[in-house]
Amino acid sequence: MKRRELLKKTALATGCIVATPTLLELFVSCQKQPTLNWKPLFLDEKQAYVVEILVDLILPASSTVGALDLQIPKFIDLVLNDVLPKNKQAIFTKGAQFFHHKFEVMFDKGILEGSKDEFLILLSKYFKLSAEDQKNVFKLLEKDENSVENMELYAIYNYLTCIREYTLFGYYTSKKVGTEILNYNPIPVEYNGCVPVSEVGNSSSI
Amino acid sequence: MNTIDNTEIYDAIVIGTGISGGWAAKELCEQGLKVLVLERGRMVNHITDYPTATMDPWDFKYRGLNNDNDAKTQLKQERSGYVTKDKSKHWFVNDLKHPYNETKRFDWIRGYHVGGRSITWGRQCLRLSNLDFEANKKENIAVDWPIRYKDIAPWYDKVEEFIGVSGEKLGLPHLPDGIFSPPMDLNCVENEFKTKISENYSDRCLTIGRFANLTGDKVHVGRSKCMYRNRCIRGCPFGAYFSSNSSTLPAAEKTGNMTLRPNSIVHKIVYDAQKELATGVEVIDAESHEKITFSAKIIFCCASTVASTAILLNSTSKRFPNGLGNDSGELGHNLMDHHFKVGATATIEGFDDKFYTGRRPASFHIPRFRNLKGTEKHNFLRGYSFQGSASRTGWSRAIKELSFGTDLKEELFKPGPWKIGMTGFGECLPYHENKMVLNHKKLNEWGLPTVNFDCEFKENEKEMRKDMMQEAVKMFKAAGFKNVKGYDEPCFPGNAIHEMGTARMGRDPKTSVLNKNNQLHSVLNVYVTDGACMTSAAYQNPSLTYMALTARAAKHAVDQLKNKKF
Repeated sequence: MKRRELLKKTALATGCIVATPTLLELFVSCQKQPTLNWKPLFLDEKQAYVVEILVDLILPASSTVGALDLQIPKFIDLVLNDVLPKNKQAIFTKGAQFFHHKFEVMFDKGILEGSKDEFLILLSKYFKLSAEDQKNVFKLLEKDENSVENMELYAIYNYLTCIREYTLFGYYTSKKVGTEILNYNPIPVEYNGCVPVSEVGNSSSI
Repeated sequence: MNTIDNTEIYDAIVIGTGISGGWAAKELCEQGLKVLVLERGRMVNHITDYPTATMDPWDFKYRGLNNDNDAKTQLKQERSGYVTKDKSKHWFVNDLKHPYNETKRFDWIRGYHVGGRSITWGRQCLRLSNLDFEANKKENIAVDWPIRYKDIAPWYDKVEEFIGVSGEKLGLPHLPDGIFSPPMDLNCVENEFKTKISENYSDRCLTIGRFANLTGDKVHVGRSKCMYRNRCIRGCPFGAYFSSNSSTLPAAEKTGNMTLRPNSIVHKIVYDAQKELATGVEVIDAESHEKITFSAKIIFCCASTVASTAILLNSTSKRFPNGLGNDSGELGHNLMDHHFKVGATATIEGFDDKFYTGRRPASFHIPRFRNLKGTEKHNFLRGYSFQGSASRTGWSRAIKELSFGTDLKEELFKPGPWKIGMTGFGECLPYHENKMVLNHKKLNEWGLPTVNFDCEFKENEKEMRKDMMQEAVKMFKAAGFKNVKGYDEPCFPGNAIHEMGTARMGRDPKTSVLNKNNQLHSVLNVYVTDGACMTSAAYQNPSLTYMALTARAAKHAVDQLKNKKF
């Protein structure tokens, strides 16, 4: 709890968090929750804080590394800044605003005070759907944003699936996962079209 | 580069260093001619100039995604759907620097550098047959090819021996066998599909594609066997697939007869009305904008279908007011490509205990089975093949889901279910009205006219596409595959990157641009041996035919020179 309060105060005091080494060490020393030890290019501090929590919920650490260990939020921020065209950036930001608002209404508190468990409750509301409903979400997202009736729902799903997709993308294309967990064989030398899966193990990273 | 002598009269000038130009350079040099090879783009040295060849996803800043600023410079190249990714975008032009115009949409995908698109080609090597060479005549379409299979067969042999083609002999009359190194494996599911096709159909079969990737033990100088990295499009440090850079240009270089000049934009062939021959080419240096004229006894146009034709159209004179060798008025017309992006996808149950090792740079192939005998009744002429592959899905199978958490993370390390997909490659008929012309009002930064396309697929192609999708769906269903889905995506000419036909070969100078030896009918020392020469498109991937015709034409040119015809 202390960390969130500190974060909030700092954010209020400075308008943005300056990740000086001292401050960083302080964050890390407080506890193990996501800490903003990097300077976003596209996201603002609030958005980055929420992205960190969502990324951690999507691919958490277990016996294998989690997405936070691999600085995936920083990668997502880079993609948002450099890869996404302007119109997609705009709809992402709109989705972030709607999502933040949803959170604040649901829990009656500022987003920076939100706990991981609370974010899990809200994320589950959007993600724990039947297979059929999941398909409908992606059908909705194929529509042009000008033709949708429920802009809030559209923007939030665009936001959440964007974070989810780039979390997966960043994680499974990372060097750590690519060389230490997935099957990494840069020069296979031979192709064998039919072998028992037990001899190969995990998917290939390249 | 300015040290290159422009007062010397070369035996031959080759325009372009792609798959055709490389062969022209090799053949002419090896037969003792002094050859100047001109390439409009930058130098690319084999191996040392393949910057992404060994990069892994995490070595790219955006892990292979394209950043928005770069994307804006390649909006037309991006239409290909795959070439502008970080691993290969340096092999494709900046559309802002190299603009063109479209009366109708045409996807002109280009690589301006030494080696051209031979670095990034699909490598499928399929011979044409008499079914193809005789089709125009039998059906009274366009004009007859001036050659038949027997004229090109020995040249297919020669090319295949040199480039190295892996594949399986089938004994099909309409897809002649070649000289092959051992075929690559099909995987478990593809083998299952192959078996089911032979059980369900008597008119078709499935085989591994015929690819210009080295397998087996035959020695190819300076090259080694395929390592199954499947990173061909980046340039291969093993020289395991055929490209001009790995193969023909080094062979030409070795003779000591080749002078290669990059950054040399040929814009005009100089014609001497007295001699009725070409005497050289006019060049603009791409970097300095300096204008230079080079002289030669023979000119080989291998700049690509559209670029070679653009040079000829721009080579006007009193004798040829509509472009060099354009007495017929056909120059720029009959533009063709293959139509594709139509087929089916499916999933496969079972085989969960099976996998594969290595990354095969080849797809399976279902050779043409339509309109082979002339007794079938279809709503279209000619035919198509299918090319495709089966694989186990990776982590990206979960993108269109909303699952999250530890279970998801662990699950996605493992190979997912099998999927299979294939696309048809269909023949496009030659239509006179499908054309490219020069726009002299819109000039590029070198002051040269830009190309304007006016080309479309028509009824025959549209009818064929219906059959392509239906048959793909039927074959997958008959094989017992699940979730079979047909698709027919928008496909515009150029997208297959098999553009051809704008300076067609023919028997009659009144209706064609080139004769049976790939010479301009009316300017015999100018040869056009790239895709422009094609009289019909056939369904086969065309590069092997360009190479064979180039080698054949080079021999002809050398003989003519020896006999003092030029």
